[in-house]
Amino acid sequence: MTAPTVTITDLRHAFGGTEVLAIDRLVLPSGTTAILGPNGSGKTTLVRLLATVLEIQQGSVQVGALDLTQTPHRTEFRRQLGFAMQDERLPARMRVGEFCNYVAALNEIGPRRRRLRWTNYVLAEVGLSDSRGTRIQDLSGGMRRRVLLAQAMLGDPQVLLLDEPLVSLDAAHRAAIVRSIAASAQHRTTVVATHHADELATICRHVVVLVAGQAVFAGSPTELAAVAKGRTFETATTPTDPAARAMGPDRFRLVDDCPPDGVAVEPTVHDGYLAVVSDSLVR
Amino acid sequence: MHAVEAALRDQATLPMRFGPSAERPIEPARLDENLLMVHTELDAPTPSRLERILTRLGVPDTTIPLVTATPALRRSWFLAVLIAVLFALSAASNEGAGVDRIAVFLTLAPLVPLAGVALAFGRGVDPTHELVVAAPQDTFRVFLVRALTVMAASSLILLLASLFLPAGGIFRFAWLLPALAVTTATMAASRHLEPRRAALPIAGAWIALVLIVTQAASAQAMFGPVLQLAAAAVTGIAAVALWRQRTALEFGPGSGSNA
Repeated sequence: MTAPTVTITDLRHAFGGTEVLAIDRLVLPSGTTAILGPNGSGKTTLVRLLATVLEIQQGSVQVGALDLTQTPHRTEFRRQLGFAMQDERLPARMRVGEFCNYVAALNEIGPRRRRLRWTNYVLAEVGLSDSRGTRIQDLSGGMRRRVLLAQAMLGDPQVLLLDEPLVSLDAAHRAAIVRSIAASAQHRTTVVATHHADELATICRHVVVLVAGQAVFAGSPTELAAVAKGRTFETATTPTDPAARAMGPDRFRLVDDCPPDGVAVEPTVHDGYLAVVSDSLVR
Repeated sequence: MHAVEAALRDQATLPMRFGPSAERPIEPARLDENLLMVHTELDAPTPSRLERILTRLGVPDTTIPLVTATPALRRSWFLAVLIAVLFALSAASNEGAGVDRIAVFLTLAPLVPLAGVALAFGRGVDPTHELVVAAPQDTFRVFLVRALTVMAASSLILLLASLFLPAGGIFRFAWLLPALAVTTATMAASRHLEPRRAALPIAGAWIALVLIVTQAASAQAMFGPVLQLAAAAVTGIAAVALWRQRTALEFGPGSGSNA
């Protein structure tokens, strides 16, 4: 089975009369797509709309042959969906294995033995095999994040939607999660809303940048990095640009006009992202 | 377990044990898959007492985890219910006769399943709410399963408590239909209000009704046949209203106010 393409057309969403998302047209191909954007840019709203947690108010979302504005199509889509929300609050008293068994039942995986097999498999995938009997309240934030990813992979979904899966993880665990996402990316459509552009760039085929609810960039990670070509510098002078990053004790990296002692450097995906956000805010 | 694992891992011993057909090397992925199956069988947790009871009662296999995961169905909730019931029992007055002696119990008892339903489902009370909505299981069905679970559990405790009431005859069960009425009305209001929000005004209305009628007439009049008929009617109307909006509850209780 080939992984489906997600096509978004004229999608608008408002909370209490305030429009938070306005996407004219966006295509998310199979493979992994990263959704980047500053806080409040509409990443989570977009993921929740794709996950059918929020009702589509205006516009359409097509996943393969399924139209998510239609109830029977939504139900069918949910059978192919794995979803990990941003909020890592989980039922504190439940044990990890019990929680996975519960989510597997929600996903119509049965009988119990089959749910247990899936539970063992996904927990092994995220390195939590030994925590099956641990209560969720006794897990660290990073481990809860991995439990969230594990439950999303139950039943080997065709579409995987992950909202900030790398938040509150240390570098080693972030790398492990990225590996897990990459390992299964070939045969599914994965959409990841994240702030960690560089870490996911290596495994993404496609990147979308949202600013103020609008998709201001859609393309490959290489194309995104190229936006900052000739605009990315390293300098020893403390820059005034709040988006400048410290690269060492006296080294700063910024995407801006060339500072007096600036040295042009090869831009990364993160630099490209900063350039796109900066350009769209100027507009 | 270690012996099974060793046998699976030690490919060199396979030709000896199973003949020349086993000389073909085993793919590591298949070996891991087989080991996972062996581990699953051996490490499978024993079903809890509640799970075993539900299986014996014929509850479908995929419904059992939904019942056991009901947020309100925790030891702390049962403890709270027991305390509430004991309080209501101890409040049974020594003065008066019949229904007057158990009026406090009859007033408070319907609020117990109501509180359970209010805390069984919805955004604010269930951390897995978004996972429930994004799952293929019908959200309305999950809501119904949890509400019925809480209602059944609390009603069982209340029925047992009713047997220990000092007076009342058949009136000791006069809380049952009002309990059904207030819980069903709360669920019927959930298209536009989360159950925990809908429960508060409904509980308030119930207490106000009891106070007004008992002040104006008597507890006997309050919990008599007229109330029972009215409660049955409210239950019926609310159940029909709930059923008619089952598809609208796809995005969870309270989603109607966001549309």
